[in-house]
Amino acid sequence: MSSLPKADSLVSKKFKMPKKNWFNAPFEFKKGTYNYGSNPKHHVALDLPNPRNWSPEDQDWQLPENWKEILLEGLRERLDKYRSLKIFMDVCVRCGACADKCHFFIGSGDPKNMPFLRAELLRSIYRREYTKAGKIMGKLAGARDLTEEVVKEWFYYFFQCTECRRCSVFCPFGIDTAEITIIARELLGLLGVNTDWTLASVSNCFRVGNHVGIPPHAIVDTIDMLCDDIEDITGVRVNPTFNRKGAEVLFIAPSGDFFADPGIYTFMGYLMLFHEIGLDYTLSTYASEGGNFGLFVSHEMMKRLNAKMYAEAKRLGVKWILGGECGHMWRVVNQYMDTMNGPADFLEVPVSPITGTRFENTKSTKMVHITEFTSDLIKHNKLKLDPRRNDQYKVTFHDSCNPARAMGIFEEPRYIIKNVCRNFYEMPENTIREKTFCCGSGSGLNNDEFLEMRMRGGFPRANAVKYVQEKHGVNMLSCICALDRAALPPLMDYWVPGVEVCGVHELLGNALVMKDEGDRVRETNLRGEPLEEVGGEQDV
Amino acid sequence: MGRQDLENLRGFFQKYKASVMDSWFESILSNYPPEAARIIKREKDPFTNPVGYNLRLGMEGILNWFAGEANQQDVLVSLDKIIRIRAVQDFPPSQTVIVLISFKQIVEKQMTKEFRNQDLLWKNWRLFDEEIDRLMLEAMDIYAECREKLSQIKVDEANKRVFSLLRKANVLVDCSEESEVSSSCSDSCNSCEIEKKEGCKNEFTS
Ligand code: SF4
Ligand code: SF4
Repeated sequence: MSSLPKADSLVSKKFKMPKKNWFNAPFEFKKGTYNYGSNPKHHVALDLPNPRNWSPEDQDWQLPENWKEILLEGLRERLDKYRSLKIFMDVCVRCGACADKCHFFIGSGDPKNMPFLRAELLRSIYRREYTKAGKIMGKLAGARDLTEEVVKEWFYYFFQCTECRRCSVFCPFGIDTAEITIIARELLGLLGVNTDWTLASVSNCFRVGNHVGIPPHAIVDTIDMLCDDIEDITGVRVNPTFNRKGAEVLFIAPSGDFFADPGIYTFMGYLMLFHEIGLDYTLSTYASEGGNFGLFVSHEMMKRLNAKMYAEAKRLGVKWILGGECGHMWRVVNQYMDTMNGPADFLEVPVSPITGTRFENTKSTKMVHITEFTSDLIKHNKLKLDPRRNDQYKVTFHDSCNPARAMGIFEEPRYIIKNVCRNFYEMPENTIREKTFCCGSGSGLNNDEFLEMRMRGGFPRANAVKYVQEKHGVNMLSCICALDRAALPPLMDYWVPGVEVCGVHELLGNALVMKDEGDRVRETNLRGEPLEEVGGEQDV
Repeated sequence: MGRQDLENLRGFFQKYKASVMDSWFESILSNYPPEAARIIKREKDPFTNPVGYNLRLGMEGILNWFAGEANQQDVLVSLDKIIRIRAVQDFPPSQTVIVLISFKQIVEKQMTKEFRNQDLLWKNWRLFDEEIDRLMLEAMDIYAECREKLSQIKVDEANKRVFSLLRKANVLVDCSEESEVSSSCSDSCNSCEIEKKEGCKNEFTS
């Protein structure tokens, strides 16, 4: 683990509270910086309140008549339920340590994107309603009245937070603005104020099984096509099974990995690995989504979607679950699953059938991260690898926010990368590991209408990539999150052309020497790009 | 304009680079809210403050060019650094290019002070003015290219998100490496927007 900042370095000398009343600063719904309002059909599908056609640019948001009551009651309920929220509302001393740590503030310069001012949007209402000082002194005590304008402002700024938690690393009190955003979005949801992109994904996932809404037969077809590709490249036919009862392991990946470019190459890497080690596993066409956009709507919605994976594991009678390279799926599993839907007593503590390693860290959730699983295989010398097959890549690694800050997965992906490629370069220390910069598109903000804001928010990440591109000639940005694989390519395209994006298991798939390949020499990598002559036999 | 005139202008910029840079940076900072401006100005770490860092780099590059210490290609890279940031921040197109106008004003002030001789002032000013106008046109092009890139990204994203489904549905026609673009690409080929092959004239149609 990289070291945390020292306490005295946290108190910022640079920061001063805005002189004027910050909350009077106007804001505007400008194209490119806000999310579209939710389509009523998703409200109906998910049984959510206030279905209507609306746009954030409308004057009248058609809130329920008693909207104020609903919001305040909702807030009171959550203050009782989540002790953390109450603490976060009370303890901020406005020291400013978090002020310049949010990528959206860094990229946009909008003060309300400073984490503590973002939190202040909610805190000012809390003070007004639930503290004596706020009730009596109002604005003087940093309190303000709840108006429709405040609701709009919440929508604007709480959907300009990717819930990445970078700010919390620097806060001496550990205030987690992401948690505040989660609550604020949940409160907005009580009024039927949601974003379309998120709700559409949730509704698809809830009804059909994955964010894109692809039905079972199409999933099978698509994966079959990826198996054809693997066969073309390696000469080996891999045969994954679907919904097979009695398999030892259920493998769940984010759906982006079998639908989206470049996620599919990572998926091919998984399939090749499982074939090579002879894993007794099955895929599911029902639990066909590792991602959990429910996290971006409400605790309740996250619980519903997470439960689906475990229900399927139970139905199929597997022993444990292996999870792919996903970001927020792991945040949900690692941080919330146990108290929400767990413990998963009907499953067994995961044991690697190849190495015998017992994954004690997953005792309760029974779900193992694929990079833990694979690095364990490599550590035990169970894989034959030819890193020269990745020689055309100069690789760096982006710590995806969720596995990094919500799980502490830092070493495993690096261990794999260092074993499967020969050119690996780290980005600067203050932009990786705990301090990693978000892709700028997390938490359901990876939609087209939000593109400009995404480019601003992703700039700090891109800037660090540019540095290693210029210094070491890096041309491949690897990561372990499907959202990253979707969001980083456009970010690179805009800021750092010439850098591509891949998952760690794509690199592994390239380097993996499969027994069934025999003497055959691979001519291309998983992307179909010709392999550079590496001199002599590739298979070492 | 003779060689001597050019040398004069370069000498002027070599002499006043630092002070012009300071006033110019201040003027750009005034476009940002004060809380942000303070941080953009003071934070020196290039990774903590990429906006400040890259704006500075770009501005220094432009000044270096006027001082005769950078070549034509470098000055465009420097200009790109500034415009690329402004093109996605909250500025209308005019405010994006205003960066160069404020530079012009700052230089004008300094030149009037420097060259008491009207003839000398005029010569230097004309030389500078011509170049800065040209940079302004370049800036417009870069701005337009940035905005076009954003539109292109939207199209690409839509395709990439469901790439394998489109491929499965045969919506994408494969323009394989070996094939001749002219003979294998039909008018309805959509794949080129994902990986546009050299020489392909097709536009995205779906
Ligand atoms: S959680 Fe991330 S996006 Fe949200 S305020 Fe903190 S740093 Fe910014
Ligand atoms: S949230 Fe934490 S770091 Fe930020 S101002 Fe408050 S106390 Fe300081």
